[in-house]
Amino acid sequence: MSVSALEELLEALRCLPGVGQRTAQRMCMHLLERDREGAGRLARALELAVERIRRCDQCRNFTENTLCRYCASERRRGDVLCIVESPADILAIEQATGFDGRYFVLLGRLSPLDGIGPEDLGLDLLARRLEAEQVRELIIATNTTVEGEATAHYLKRMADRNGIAVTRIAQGVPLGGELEYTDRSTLAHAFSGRQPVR
Amino acid sequence: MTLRVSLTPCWILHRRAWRESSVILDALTRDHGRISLVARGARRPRSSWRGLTEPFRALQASFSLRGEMGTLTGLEAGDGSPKLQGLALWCGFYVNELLIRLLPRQEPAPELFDAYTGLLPKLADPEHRAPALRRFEMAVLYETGVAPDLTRDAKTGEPVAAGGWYRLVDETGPVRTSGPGPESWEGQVFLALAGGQIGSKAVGKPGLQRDARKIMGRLLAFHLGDKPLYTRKLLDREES
Repeated sequence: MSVSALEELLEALRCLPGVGQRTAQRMCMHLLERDREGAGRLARALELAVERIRRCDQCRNFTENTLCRYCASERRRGDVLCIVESPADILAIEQATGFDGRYFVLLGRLSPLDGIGPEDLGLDLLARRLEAEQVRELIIATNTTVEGEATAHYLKRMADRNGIAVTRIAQGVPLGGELEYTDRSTLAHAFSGRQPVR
Repeated sequence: MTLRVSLTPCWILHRRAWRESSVILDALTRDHGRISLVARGARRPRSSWRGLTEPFRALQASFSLRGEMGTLTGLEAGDGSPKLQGLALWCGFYVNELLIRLLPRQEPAPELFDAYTGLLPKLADPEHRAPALRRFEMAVLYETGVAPDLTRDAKTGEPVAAGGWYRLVDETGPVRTSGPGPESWEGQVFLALAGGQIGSKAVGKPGLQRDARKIMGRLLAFHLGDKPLYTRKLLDREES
Protein backbone atom coordinates (compact mmCIF):
# COMPACT_ATOMS: atom_id res chain seq x y z
CA MET A 1 0.00 0.00 0.00
CA SER A 2 1.47 3.33 -1.00
CA VAL A 3 1.03 6.49 1.02
CA SER A 4 -0.06 9.52 -0.98
CA ALA A 5 2.19 12.58 -1.09
CA LEU A 6 -0.42 14.52 0.85
CA GLU A 7 -0.55 12.01 3.68
CA GLU A 8 3.23 11.84 3.77
CA LEU A 9 3.43 15.63 4.13
CA LEU A 10 0.76 15.70 6.86
CA GLU A 11 2.61 13.06 8.81
CA ALA A 12 5.98 14.78 8.31
CA LEU A 13 4.72 18.16 9.59
CA ARG A 14 3.60 16.52 12.81
CA CYS A 15 7.20 16.02 13.86
CA LEU A 16 7.22 19.71 14.82
CA PRO A 17 6.51 20.52 18.47
CA GLY A 18 2.92 21.58 19.05
CA VAL A 19 1.72 20.47 15.62
CA GLY A 20 -1.14 18.02 15.73
CA GLN A 21 -3.41 16.72 13.01
CA ARG A 22 -5.45 19.90 12.60
CA THR A 23 -2.49 22.27 12.50
CA ALA A 24 -0.65 19.99 10.10
CA GLN A 25 -3.67 20.06 7.81
CA ARG A 26 -3.82 23.86 7.92
CA MET A 27 -0.12 24.25 7.19
CA CYS A 28 -0.35 21.74 4.41
CA MET A 29 -3.33 23.46 2.73
CA HIS A 30 -1.68 26.85 3.04
CA LEU A 31 1.52 25.65 1.41
CA LEU A 32 -0.25 23.83 -1.43
CA GLU A 33 -3.01 26.33 -2.14
CA ARG A 34 -1.41 29.70 -1.51
CA ASP A 35 2.35 29.48 -1.30
CA ARG A 36 3.89 26.81 -3.46
CA GLU A 37 6.99 28.92 -3.89
CA GLY A 38 7.41 29.19 -0.13
CA ALA A 39 6.92 25.44 0.18
CA GLY A 40 9.77 24.84 -2.26
CA ARG A 41 12.01 27.24 -0.39
CA LEU A 42 11.17 25.59 2.92
CA ALA A 43 11.97 22.16 1.52
CA ARG A 44 15.33 23.29 0.15
CA ALA A 45 16.25 25.18 3.34
CA LEU A 46 15.41 22.18 5.50
CA GLU A 47 17.46 19.87 3.35
CA LEU A 48 20.43 22.22 3.36
CA ALA A 49 20.26 22.79 7.10
CA VAL A 50 20.10 19.12 7.95
CA GLU A 51 22.95 18.40 5.57
CA ARG A 52 25.28 21.20 6.67
CA ILE A 53 24.63 21.97 10.32
CA ARG A 54 26.63 19.90 12.77
CA ARG A 55 27.94 20.23 16.29
CA CYS A 56 30.99 22.33 17.14
CA ASP A 57 33.98 20.13 17.98
CA GLN A 58 34.77 22.18 21.05
CA CYS A 59 31.50 23.27 22.60
CA ARG A 60 28.74 21.18 20.94
CA ASN A 61 26.91 24.30 19.71
CA PHE A 62 25.33 24.17 16.23
CA THR A 63 27.62 25.27 13.42
CA GLU A 64 28.32 24.73 9.74
CA ASN A 65 32.06 24.47 10.33
CA THR A 66 34.23 22.42 12.63
CA LEU A 67 34.15 25.27 15.15
CA CYS A 68 31.19 27.53 15.99
CA ARG A 69 31.61 31.30 15.73
CA TYR A 70 32.21 31.72 19.45
CA CYS A 71 34.94 29.10 19.59
CA ALA A 72 36.53 30.32 16.35
CA SER A 73 36.53 33.99 17.34
CA GLU A 74 39.98 35.35 18.20
CA ARG A 75 38.51 38.16 20.24
CA ARG A 76 36.80 36.04 22.86
CA ARG A 77 38.66 35.16 26.03
CA GLY A 78 39.49 31.52 26.54
CA ASP A 79 39.90 31.67 30.30
CA VAL A 80 36.20 31.96 31.12
CA LEU A 81 33.89 29.14 30.13
CA CYS A 82 30.10 29.36 30.44
CA ILE A 83 28.15 26.09 30.65
CA VAL A 84 24.61 26.11 29.26
CA GLU A 85 21.98 23.45 28.65
CA SER A 86 21.02 24.32 25.09
CA PRO A 87 22.14 26.44 22.10
CA ALA A 88 19.08 28.64 22.71
CA ASP A 89 20.61 29.59 26.07
CA ILE A 90 23.73 30.88 24.27
CA LEU A 91 21.56 33.18 22.15
CA ALA A 92 19.78 34.45 25.27
CA ILE A 93 23.06 35.17 27.07
CA GLU A 94 24.59 36.79 23.99
CA GLN A 95 21.62 39.13 23.60
CA ALA A 96 21.31 40.02 27.28
CA THR A 97 24.87 40.21 28.57
CA GLY A 98 28.24 41.45 27.43
CA PHE A 99 29.82 38.05 28.05
CA ASP A 100 32.97 37.69 25.95
CA GLY A 101 34.20 34.27 27.03
CA ARG A 102 33.48 30.92 25.47
CA TYR A 103 30.71 28.37 25.93
CA PHE A 104 30.06 24.71 26.40
CA VAL A 105 26.64 23.27 25.52
CA LEU A 106 25.46 20.21 27.44
CA LEU A 107 22.45 19.57 25.15
CA GLY A 108 20.46 18.48 28.16
CA ARG A 109 20.93 18.09 31.89
CA LEU A 110 21.73 15.30 34.27
CA SER A 111 18.45 13.55 34.92
CA PRO A 112 19.06 10.27 36.69
CA LEU A 113 15.38 9.34 36.69
CA ASP A 114 15.35 9.57 32.91
CA GLY A 115 18.59 7.64 32.70
CA ILE A 116 20.54 10.68 31.47
CA GLY A 117 24.02 10.55 32.97
CA PRO A 118 27.35 12.38 32.56
CA GLU A 119 28.30 10.49 29.41
CA ASP A 120 25.17 11.73 27.61
CA LEU A 121 26.16 15.37 28.13
CA GLY A 122 29.60 15.26 26.57
CA LEU A 123 31.19 15.77 29.96
CA ASP A 124 34.17 13.65 28.89
CA LEU A 125 34.81 16.26 26.18
CA LEU A 126 34.48 19.02 28.78
CA ALA A 127 36.87 17.23 31.14
CA ARG A 128 39.49 17.08 28.39
CA ARG A 129 39.03 20.79 27.72
CA LEU A 130 39.39 21.67 31.39
CA GLU A 131 42.65 19.76 31.51
CA ALA A 132 44.10 21.05 28.26
CA GLU A 133 43.03 24.70 28.30
CA GLN A 134 43.90 27.55 30.61
CA VAL A 135 40.40 27.97 32.09
CA ARG A 136 40.29 30.24 35.11
CA GLU A 137 36.57 30.42 35.76
CA LEU A 138 33.65 28.15 35.00
CA ILE A 139 30.29 29.93 34.92
CA ILE A 140 27.42 27.52 35.42
CA ALA A 141 24.28 28.76 33.69
CA THR A 142 22.10 25.66 33.92
CA ASN A 143 18.38 25.99 34.59
CA THR A 144 17.16 26.47 38.14
CA THR A 145 15.43 23.08 38.24
CA VAL A 146 16.54 20.24 40.52
CA GLU A 147 18.19 18.62 37.50
CA GLY A 148 20.02 21.86 36.77
CA GLU A 149 21.14 21.88 40.39
CA ALA A 150 22.39 18.29 40.19
CA THR A 151 24.25 19.15 36.99
CA ALA A 152 25.84 22.17 38.66
CA HIS A 153 27.04 20.01 41.54
CA TYR A 154 28.63 17.54 39.13
CA LEU A 155 30.34 20.33 37.17
CA LYS A 156 31.65 21.83 40.39
CA ARG A 157 33.34 18.56 41.29
CA MET A 158 34.88 18.37 37.82
CA ALA A 159 36.21 21.90 38.09
CA ASP A 160 37.55 21.29 41.61
CA ARG A 161 39.70 18.47 40.33
CA ASN A 162 41.40 20.96 38.02
CA GLY A 163 41.55 23.79 40.54
CA ILE A 164 39.20 25.99 38.52
CA ALA A 165 37.00 28.62 40.19
CA VAL A 166 33.28 27.98 39.77
CA THR A 167 30.47 30.53 39.78
CA ARG A 168 26.74 30.08 39.26
CA ILE A 169 24.45 32.70 37.78
CA ALA A 170 22.41 34.42 40.51
CA GLN A 171 18.84 33.39 41.25
CA GLY A 172 16.39 35.91 42.61
CA VAL A 173 13.62 38.44 42.20
CA PRO A 174 13.09 39.46 38.55
CA LEU A 175 13.81 43.08 37.67
CA GLY A 176 10.68 45.17 38.08
CA GLY A 177 9.21 42.37 40.16
CA GLU A 178 7.31 42.90 43.38
CA LEU A 179 8.24 40.87 46.43
CA GLU A 180 4.62 40.26 47.27
CA TYR A 181 4.11 38.36 44.04
CA THR A 182 7.41 36.53 43.99
CA ASP A 183 7.08 32.84 44.75
CA ARG A 184 8.40 31.70 48.11
CA SER A 185 11.39 29.66 47.06
CA THR A 186 12.66 32.32 44.66
CA LEU A 187 12.37 34.88 47.42
CA ALA A 188 14.14 32.54 49.85
CA HIS A 189 16.97 32.13 47.32
CA ALA A 190 17.15 35.86 46.74
CA PHE A 191 17.24 36.50 50.46
CA SER A 192 19.97 34.02 51.29
CA GLY A 193 21.99 35.21 48.28
CA ARG A 194 21.73 38.92 49.19
CA GLN A 195 24.64 41.19 48.31
CA PRO A 196 26.24 44.27 49.83
CA VAL A 197 24.82 47.48 48.35
CA ARG A 198 27.43 49.20 46.25
CA MET B 1 -16.58 7.94 39.02
CA THR B 2 -14.47 11.04 39.33
CA LEU B 3 -12.71 11.71 42.61
CA ARG B 4 -12.10 15.35 43.45
CA VAL B 5 -9.44 16.20 46.00
CA SER B 6 -8.72 19.64 47.38
CA LEU B 7 -5.31 20.78 48.64
CA THR B 8 -3.82 17.56 49.93
CA PRO B 9 -0.14 17.25 50.95
CA CYS B 10 1.96 16.08 48.04
CA TRP B 11 5.54 15.58 46.84
CA ILE B 12 6.50 15.36 43.20
CA LEU B 13 8.70 12.35 42.51
CA HIS B 14 9.30 12.96 38.84
CA ARG B 15 7.91 14.98 35.96
CA ARG B 16 8.21 14.96 32.24
CA ALA B 17 7.24 17.41 29.57
CA TRP B 18 4.08 16.51 27.72
CA ARG B 19 2.97 18.10 24.47
CA GLU B 20 3.80 21.77 23.95
CA SER B 21 3.14 23.26 27.36
CA SER B 22 2.05 20.57 29.80
CA VAL B 23 3.76 18.34 32.30
CA ILE B 24 2.97 14.83 33.50
CA LEU B 25 3.70 14.49 37.20
CA ASP B 26 4.45 11.37 39.18
CA ALA B 27 3.31 12.48 42.61
CA LEU B 28 3.25 10.99 46.09
CA THR B 29 0.19 12.07 48.06
CA ARG B 30 -0.57 11.31 51.66
CA ASP B 31 -4.07 9.93 51.24
CA HIS B 32 -4.13 8.64 47.68
CA GLY B 33 -0.68 7.12 47.30
CA ARG B 34 1.41 7.50 44.19
CA ILE B 35 -0.56 9.03 41.34
CA SER B 36 -0.03 10.39 37.83
CA LEU B 37 -1.31 13.88 37.15
CA VAL B 38 -1.41 16.04 34.05
CA ALA B 39 -0.55 19.66 34.79
CA ARG B 40 -2.00 21.40 31.75
CA GLY B 41 -0.17 24.52 30.67
CA ALA B 42 2.38 24.22 33.50
CA ARG B 43 5.24 25.12 31.14
CA ARG B 44 3.65 28.30 29.77
CA PRO B 45 5.70 31.40 30.61
CA ARG B 46 2.95 32.88 32.78
CA SER B 47 1.69 29.72 34.42
CA SER B 48 1.24 30.12 38.16
CA TRP B 49 2.54 26.54 38.57
CA ARG B 50 5.86 27.37 36.99
CA GLY B 51 8.67 26.58 39.36
CA LEU B 52 6.29 24.69 41.64
CA THR B 53 6.22 21.42 39.73
CA GLU B 54 9.62 20.44 41.12
CA PRO B 55 10.67 17.44 43.17
CA PHE B 56 11.64 18.00 46.83
CA ARG B 57 9.21 20.89 47.32
CA ALA B 58 6.53 20.60 49.93
CA LEU B 59 3.27 21.11 48.04
CA GLN B 60 -0.48 21.11 48.45
CA ALA B 61 -2.21 19.74 45.37
CA SER B 62 -5.82 19.75 44.19
CA PHE B 63 -6.74 17.30 41.47
CA SER B 64 -9.46 15.22 39.93
CA LEU B 65 -8.82 11.54 39.47
CA ARG B 66 -10.58 9.23 37.08
CA GLY B 67 -8.89 6.02 36.00
CA GLU B 68 -5.11 5.94 35.68
CA MET B 69 -4.39 9.59 34.98
CA GLY B 70 -5.60 12.51 37.05
CA THR B 71 -5.73 16.22 36.24
CA LEU B 72 -4.04 18.79 38.42
CA THR B 73 -6.44 21.60 39.24
CA GLY B 74 -4.48 23.53 41.86
CA LEU B 75 -1.01 23.66 43.33
CA GLU B 76 0.31 25.67 46.24
CA ALA B 77 3.64 25.74 48.01
CA GLY B 78 3.46 24.12 51.43
CA ASP B 79 5.75 24.61 54.39
CA GLY B 80 9.09 23.00 55.01
CA SER B 81 10.80 22.38 51.69
CA PRO B 82 14.20 20.85 52.44
CA LYS B 83 17.31 22.41 50.93
CA LEU B 84 18.95 19.57 49.05
CA GLN B 85 22.25 20.19 47.36
CA GLY B 86 25.06 18.08 46.05
CA LEU B 87 25.12 14.52 47.33
CA ALA B 88 21.89 15.09 49.31
CA LEU B 89 20.13 15.92 46.05
CA TRP B 90 21.46 12.76 44.41
CA CYS B 91 20.21 10.70 47.36
CA GLY B 92 16.84 12.39 46.89
CA PHE B 93 16.77 11.25 43.26
CA TYR B 94 17.65 7.76 44.47
CA VAL B 95 14.72 7.65 46.89
CA ASN B 96 12.36 8.92 44.21
CA GLU B 97 13.52 6.30 41.74
CA LEU B 98 13.06 3.64 44.41
CA LEU B 99 9.46 4.72 45.01
CA ILE B 100 8.66 4.96 41.32
CA ARG B 101 9.98 1.45 40.76
CA LEU B 102 8.54 -0.32 43.79
CA LEU B 103 5.43 1.51 44.97
CA PRO B 104 2.21 0.56 43.16
CA ARG B 105 -0.04 3.39 42.00
CA GLN B 106 -3.13 4.65 43.77
CA GLU B 107 -2.66 2.74 46.97
CA PRO B 108 -2.84 5.03 49.98
CA ALA B 109 0.35 4.92 52.04
CA PRO B 110 0.14 7.62 54.70
CA GLU B 111 2.91 6.14 56.88
CA LEU B 112 5.30 6.00 53.96
CA PHE B 113 4.36 9.56 52.98
CA ASP B 114 5.21 10.73 56.49
CA ALA B 115 8.44 8.73 56.45
CA TYR B 116 9.37 10.41 53.15
CA THR B 117 8.57 13.84 54.57
CA GLY B 118 10.78 13.06 57.57
CA LEU B 119 13.55 11.63 55.43
CA LEU B 120 14.20 14.56 53.06
CA PRO B 121 15.61 17.03 55.61
CA LYS B 122 17.84 14.28 57.02
CA LEU B 123 19.42 13.79 53.61
CA ALA B 124 20.99 17.22 53.94
CA ASP B 125 22.75 16.11 57.14
CA PRO B 126 25.82 13.93 56.35
CA GLU B 127 25.70 12.23 59.74
CA HIS B 128 22.07 11.13 59.56
CA ARG B 129 21.83 10.57 55.83
CA ALA B 130 22.84 6.89 55.60
CA PRO B 131 20.87 5.61 58.63
CA ALA B 132 17.79 7.53 57.50
CA LEU B 133 18.08 6.02 54.02
CA ARG B 134 18.31 2.49 55.45
CA ARG B 135 15.22 3.04 57.60
CA PHE B 136 13.33 4.39 54.61
CA GLU B 137 14.36 1.46 52.42
CA MET B 138 12.97 -0.89 55.09
CA ALA B 139 9.80 1.21 55.23
CA VAL B 140 9.37 0.79 51.46
CA LEU B 141 9.71 -2.99 51.80
CA TYR B 142 7.17 -3.04 54.67
CA GLU B 143 4.75 -0.86 52.73
CA THR B 144 4.89 -3.08 49.65
CA GLY B 145 4.47 -6.13 51.87
CA VAL B 146 7.72 -7.83 50.92
CA ALA B 147 9.88 -7.07 53.96
CA PRO B 148 11.52 -10.27 55.23
CA ASP B 149 11.86 -11.02 58.93
CA LEU B 150 15.48 -10.10 59.56
CA THR B 151 15.37 -11.33 63.14
CA ARG B 152 14.95 -15.00 62.21
CA ASP B 153 16.90 -17.45 60.11
CA ALA B 154 14.80 -17.96 56.97
CA LYS B 155 15.61 -21.67 56.81
CA THR B 156 15.49 -22.85 60.40
CA GLY B 157 13.29 -20.19 61.97
CA GLU B 158 15.83 -19.77 64.79
CA PRO B 159 16.36 -16.23 66.11
CA VAL B 160 19.29 -14.45 64.44
CA ALA B 161 22.31 -14.40 66.75
CA ALA B 162 24.13 -11.08 66.96
CA GLY B 163 27.53 -12.76 66.69
CA GLY B 164 26.60 -15.32 64.01
CA TRP B 165 27.25 -14.99 60.28
CA TYR B 166 24.45 -14.90 57.72
CA ARG B 167 23.96 -14.82 53.97
CA LEU B 168 21.07 -13.71 51.80
CA VAL B 169 20.11 -16.57 49.50
CA ASP B 170 16.89 -14.99 48.28
CA GLU B 171 14.43 -12.32 49.41
CA THR B 172 13.07 -14.43 52.30
CA GLY B 173 15.75 -13.36 54.80
CA PRO B 174 19.11 -14.21 56.38
CA VAL B 175 20.42 -17.79 56.37
CA ARG B 176 23.12 -18.90 58.80
CA THR B 177 26.52 -19.68 57.29
CA SER B 178 29.72 -21.11 58.72
CA GLY B 179 31.67 -17.89 59.02
CA PRO B 180 32.87 -14.65 57.44
CA GLY B 181 32.92 -14.38 53.66
CA PRO B 182 32.53 -11.80 50.93
CA GLU B 183 28.74 -12.20 50.84
CA SER B 184 28.03 -12.85 54.50
CA TRP B 185 27.36 -10.43 57.30
CA GLU B 186 27.15 -10.50 61.07
CA GLY B 187 23.77 -11.09 62.68
CA GLN B 188 23.86 -7.78 64.53
CA VAL B 189 23.65 -5.87 61.24
CA PHE B 190 20.40 -7.66 60.37
CA LEU B 191 19.08 -7.06 63.88
CA ALA B 192 19.99 -3.37 63.72
CA LEU B 193 18.20 -3.05 60.35
CA ALA B 194 15.10 -4.80 61.68
CA GLY B 195 15.05 -2.60 64.77
CA GLY B 196 15.69 0.63 62.85
CA GLN B 197 18.84 1.12 64.92
CA ILE B 198 21.37 1.72 62.18
CA GLY B 199 23.29 4.83 63.14
CA SER B 200 22.19 4.76 66.78
CA LYS B 201 24.88 5.06 69.41
CA ALA B 202 23.89 1.72 70.93
CA VAL B 203 25.13 -0.21 67.89
CA GLY B 204 28.65 0.99 67.29
CA LYS B 205 30.21 -1.79 65.25
CA PRO B 206 32.70 -0.40 62.72
CA GLY B 207 31.64 -0.97 59.12
CA LEU B 208 28.04 -1.44 60.19
CA GLN B 209 26.71 1.27 57.93
CA ARG B 210 28.57 -0.14 54.94
CA ASP B 211 27.29 -3.66 55.64
CA ALA B 212 23.75 -2.38 56.15
CA ARG B 213 23.91 -0.59 52.80
CA LYS B 214 25.05 -3.78 51.07
CA ILE B 215 22.33 -5.89 52.69
CA MET B 216 19.60 -3.41 51.75
CA GLY B 217 21.04 -3.23 48.25
CA ARG B 218 20.72 -7.02 47.92
CA LEU B 219 17.21 -7.11 49.36
CA LEU B 220 16.01 -4.34 47.06
CA ALA B 221 17.71 -5.95 44.06
CA PHE B 222 15.50 -9.05 44.46
CA HIS B 223 12.46 -6.85 43.92
CA LEU B 224 13.90 -4.57 41.25
CA GLY B 225 14.51 -7.49 38.88
CA ASP B 226 16.83 -7.21 35.88
CA LYS B 227 16.91 -3.43 35.81
CA PRO B 228 18.97 -1.97 38.68
CA LEU B 229 18.39 1.59 39.85
CA TYR B 230 20.22 4.09 37.68
CA THR B 231 20.72 6.55 40.53
CA ARG B 232 22.29 3.84 42.68
CA LYS B 233 24.77 3.11 39.90
CA LEU B 234 25.71 6.79 39.70
CA LEU B 235 25.99 7.08 43.49
CA ASP B 236 28.26 4.02 43.66
CA ARG B 237 30.47 5.54 40.97
CA GLU B 238 30.47 8.88 42.76
CA GLU B 239 31.62 7.31 46.01
CA SER B 240 34.28 5.03 44.58
